[in-house]
Amino acid sequence: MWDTLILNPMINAMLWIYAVLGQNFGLAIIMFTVVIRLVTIPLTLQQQRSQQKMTEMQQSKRWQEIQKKYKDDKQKLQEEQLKLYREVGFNPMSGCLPTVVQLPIIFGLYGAITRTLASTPGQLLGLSIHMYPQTPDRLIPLNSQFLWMDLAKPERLYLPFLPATIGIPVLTILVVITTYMQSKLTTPANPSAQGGQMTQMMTLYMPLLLGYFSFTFPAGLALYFITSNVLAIVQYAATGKVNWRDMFKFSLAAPRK
Amino acid sequence: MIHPRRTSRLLLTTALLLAALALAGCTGNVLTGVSWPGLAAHGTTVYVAFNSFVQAVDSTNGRELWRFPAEADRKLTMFAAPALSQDGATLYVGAYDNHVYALDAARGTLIWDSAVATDRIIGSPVIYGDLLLVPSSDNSLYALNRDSGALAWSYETKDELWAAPAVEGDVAYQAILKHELLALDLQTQRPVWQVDIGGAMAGPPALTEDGLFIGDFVTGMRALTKDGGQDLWSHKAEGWIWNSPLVGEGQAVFGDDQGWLTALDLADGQEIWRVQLEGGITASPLAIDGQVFAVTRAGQAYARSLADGSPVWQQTFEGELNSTPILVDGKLIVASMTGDTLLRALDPESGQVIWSFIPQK
Repeated sequence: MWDTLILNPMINAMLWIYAVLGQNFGLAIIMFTVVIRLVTIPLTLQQQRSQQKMTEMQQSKRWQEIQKKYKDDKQKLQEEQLKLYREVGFNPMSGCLPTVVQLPIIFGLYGAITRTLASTPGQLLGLSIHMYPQTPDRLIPLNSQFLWMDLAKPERLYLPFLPATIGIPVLTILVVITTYMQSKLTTPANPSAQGGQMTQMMTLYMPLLLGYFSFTFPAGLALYFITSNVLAIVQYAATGKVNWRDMFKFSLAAPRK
Repeated sequence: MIHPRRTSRLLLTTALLLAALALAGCTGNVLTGVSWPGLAAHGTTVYVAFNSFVQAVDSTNGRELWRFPAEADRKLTMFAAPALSQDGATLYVGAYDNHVYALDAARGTLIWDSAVATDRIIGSPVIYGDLLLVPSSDNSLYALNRDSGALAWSYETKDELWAAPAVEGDVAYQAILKHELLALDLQTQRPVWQVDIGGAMAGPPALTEDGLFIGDFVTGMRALTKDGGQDLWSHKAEGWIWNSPLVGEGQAVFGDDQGWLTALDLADGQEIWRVQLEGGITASPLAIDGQVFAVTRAGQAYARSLADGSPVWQQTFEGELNSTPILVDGKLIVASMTGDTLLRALDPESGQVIWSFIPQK
């Protein structure tokens, strides 16, 4: 079911894009990520609107009063929060739905990229199972060279003035930076102490986690992470809500007075 | 009562762990270097290279004789079928850590270790006189001194080499993954000829007096002349042909990844018979006494009549059977890529299991 509906179409789309773009796997990953991002724009916008609305509501005087008043009575607090949601016409689930719909797409995209990066017989055999009969077999093996890297292997840049054993993980560094920027710029400040701390920890841990994956796994994945991060920032910037100064704020977000 | 700050940390840690597991789960199997076991034999010893070890197994009882290395090393994995010296004393193993290891075949101790390649050794090494020919994914064919592992020479190709070279006289016929077949003079290291086949080739060509026979992922099975690489005939296959055909008795028998086992007339490429088996075929078939043996990804082992493809026996096993079976000490040895049992020895007459080899963890 997963393979038929999500993975196989994505893998074959990826291969067709690769064929159309002159068998350049790097460009294919970038283009494929752009296409998927474009297709999911309505969902992303809905999610952003919902997040914004939630933030605005949590910054409202009424919300703060409720938190203060019922801080020792959780049940009552929840009831009052729900009442407020109803009054302002906010559905707390409206932010979750786009995420739920996007998740399979993101995992499918991720799965398509990892599978098309086949560089051993076992991996290539795995890829062949997902290929449609209409997808040209002559594309195999895929050309995984892009700029200075082999996208099927972890990336390191070896410079002539450095010892031969020392390679700079350029993509890993870019993944860490762009992931940090993406979470800093596109996540609205959460006024609650608990939520704010969560956001800050995610902002710190996610770049490290994705950085680790980029350092360890094939460079094609890192290219996908970077493209995805940059697109998310551009997409968010297009809504005019990006505050570039937020990038260098490290303290816990507190309710604005 | 748990403090909200602790709760949030706990939630976050759990979420990150789940994300890491999901990503690793999606990636792990796909991106780690995986392939199927490679088999070789001498006398009554079976050698199998798979994952972290090369193991020597006694074909009379299925017991492990030795393993190399003694302890698993995360960086060292081996899948290519090892090559054996003519006297069976030395075993040469290509590995995914780019090294070639020469082992004492009786004890499994290291004789030398060569690190001349810069990428995985996927294809099997082949012995050529005093040299060991090693195809590498770094687009090179290396010739190593068999006694020391020292580099004698190397020849750079246009793309990765996943197939072992097929050597006849002083010429190596080397399939290059990206669609080209090269005939290389091993004395001068100059190409005799090189032709574009039109599809990826993961297995070596089979050689006869009359020509060479090779399958690919696009055009199917084809016959070429050995002296110039000219086409003699070609036969479109239903799927990808991963390995070399079995040639003999006027036939070329091969399997494809759609599960078709096909026999062609060696002279003109005309189809003699064709049967569909359960599961894709990556291994070369093996012929014994008028029967052809084939294994499939669906864990099926078949014996068919070489004359007309009619069934003799069929056995179902756990795990994918992607490795070319070998005949050792009158037993048919099949290797499984997945599942606990790595090797099974079968009676070629009936397909009954004589012994199973489950490696110790």
